[in-house]
Amino acid sequence: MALSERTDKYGGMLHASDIKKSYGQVDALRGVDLSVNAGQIVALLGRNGAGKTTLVSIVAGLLRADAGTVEVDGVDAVAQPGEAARRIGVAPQETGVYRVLTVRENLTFFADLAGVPKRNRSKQVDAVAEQLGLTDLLGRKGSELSGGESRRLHTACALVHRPRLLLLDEPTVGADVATRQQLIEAVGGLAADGAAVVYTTHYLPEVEALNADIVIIHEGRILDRGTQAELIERHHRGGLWFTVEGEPPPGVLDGLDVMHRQTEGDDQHRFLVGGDVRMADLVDRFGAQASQLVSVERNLPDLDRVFMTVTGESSEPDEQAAS
Amino acid sequence: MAVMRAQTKIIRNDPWFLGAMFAMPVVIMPIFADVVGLGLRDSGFPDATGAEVVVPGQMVLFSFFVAGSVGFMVFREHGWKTWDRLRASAASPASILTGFAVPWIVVHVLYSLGVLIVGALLVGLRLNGGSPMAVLLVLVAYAFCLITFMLLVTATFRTVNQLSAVQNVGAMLVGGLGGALMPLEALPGWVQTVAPLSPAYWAMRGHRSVFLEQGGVADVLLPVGVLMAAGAVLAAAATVRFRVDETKEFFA
Repeated sequence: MALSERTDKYGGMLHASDIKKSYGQVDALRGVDLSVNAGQIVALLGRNGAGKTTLVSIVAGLLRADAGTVEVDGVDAVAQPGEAARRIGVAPQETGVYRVLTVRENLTFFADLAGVPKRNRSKQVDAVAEQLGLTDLLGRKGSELSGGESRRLHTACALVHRPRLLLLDEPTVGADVATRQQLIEAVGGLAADGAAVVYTTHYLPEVEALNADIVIIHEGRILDRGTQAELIERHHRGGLWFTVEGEPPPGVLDGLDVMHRQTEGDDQHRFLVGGDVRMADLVDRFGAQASQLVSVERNLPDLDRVFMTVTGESSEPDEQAAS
Repeated sequence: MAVMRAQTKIIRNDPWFLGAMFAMPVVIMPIFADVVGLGLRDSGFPDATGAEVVVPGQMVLFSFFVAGSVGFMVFREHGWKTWDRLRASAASPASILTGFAVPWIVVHVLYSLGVLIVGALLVGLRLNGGSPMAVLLVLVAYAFCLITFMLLVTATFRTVNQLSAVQNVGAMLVGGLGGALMPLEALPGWVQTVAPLSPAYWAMRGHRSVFLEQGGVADVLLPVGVLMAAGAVLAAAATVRFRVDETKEFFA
């Protein structure tokens, strides 16, 4: 099946298939598939070294995959990198702006580089500057911008040609709250206009704010994908967190699904028990030793905990469950 | 073209280095002109003032430093973290290289013309019947040769310190061996033997034809041809060696 036929089938702006990439002995990507539709925001969520930047770099043409295919808006990104690049806006992880050029010159250059006709450049520069709060800074040189302003310009350079696929690699690192908000609004606006967005981040609140489809990537593999609600539905285990002074009385844990146990301070133990355990039932189990209970709380649905559950991170319940 | 336009703006917005490159020739030309003039008059050029050799010599020498700037611009892109943005764009590696090279060839020619004009004002450099078109041809050919050489150096080395070393040592070596510091007649025989290996030799030979011997375009065709041929070889080598995905360190 031809690449373009496959893209039609998936209906995606981006279709990356079976991407593999190794650095020496380290497998950074182990067969990753990623499709993103027009108007869709996909948040790539993963720890440092999970493979997010490698995947974005391969899609952007900055890295060559060892195996797999990348198609952008029907264009084979390996066979026709120039054509694919015109459709992509990429803001790499590190802030990159021309320090001796003004904000307007920076934006104009990237519009020019992306092939925006001269007659439209000024209009598009003004529009993206307005979107990211750079209008008053258009005459200022890159070297005269604050960190947050540079970050906004960095992202604006990726947006200025109105790409069909936007790749943002941790765009809000080091950004203040206002900058973060502006970036999120700009990305949301671009998606609303029909662009596909791939957004890597560590910040879960941003994912929620973007209402993004979440892709959890870990050790070079995509472990799960879904909306926030879908992931919570699939992975949230309910249950109760409780903290006990000293060892719990004998028999208290019998029959409970202890998903997690950790020691806190000198002699306190914190437990997560799964299932439909009610607080009152738990207190009853302690009977006369109920005074040992320091706290009891519901294990609330939380994207952070879902992420850790999916990736098997250090506080993941199953791995640290009491033996 | 977009890269070319941006590089032109960057050069225009950050011209201090070019200004500084005028200072040394301005200081050195008056010091050496009289001494060199004496030697030239003894060598059968009774009307020579020394400016005919000293001014082109200083221009040939210091324009080597100007040529090095093309490499610094590439390294600076890495320092500014804009290199990956260029790579991720629709611009091909060849168009990126051309985008850096062409503005610097133009700047190199303008700088060289500027030094010649300053030489005319300071120490009385005159064409004396020589062809201005011949001068221009030599300037363009020399600029092409040096810029492509510095692009090959940039493509080959990984750190800006290495580039800087090649620039500094290269200027003295190429300029010295090519007769830009002192007229070749005043240098040892072995230097005169190896001099044709230096692009400065061919540039000086072309300028000498015009300024000292009232030559025309036909008189500079050989030096211009040698410089252009060398530049073409260097450009091809730079294109082959250039890897856009290589990491370069800018004042790490």
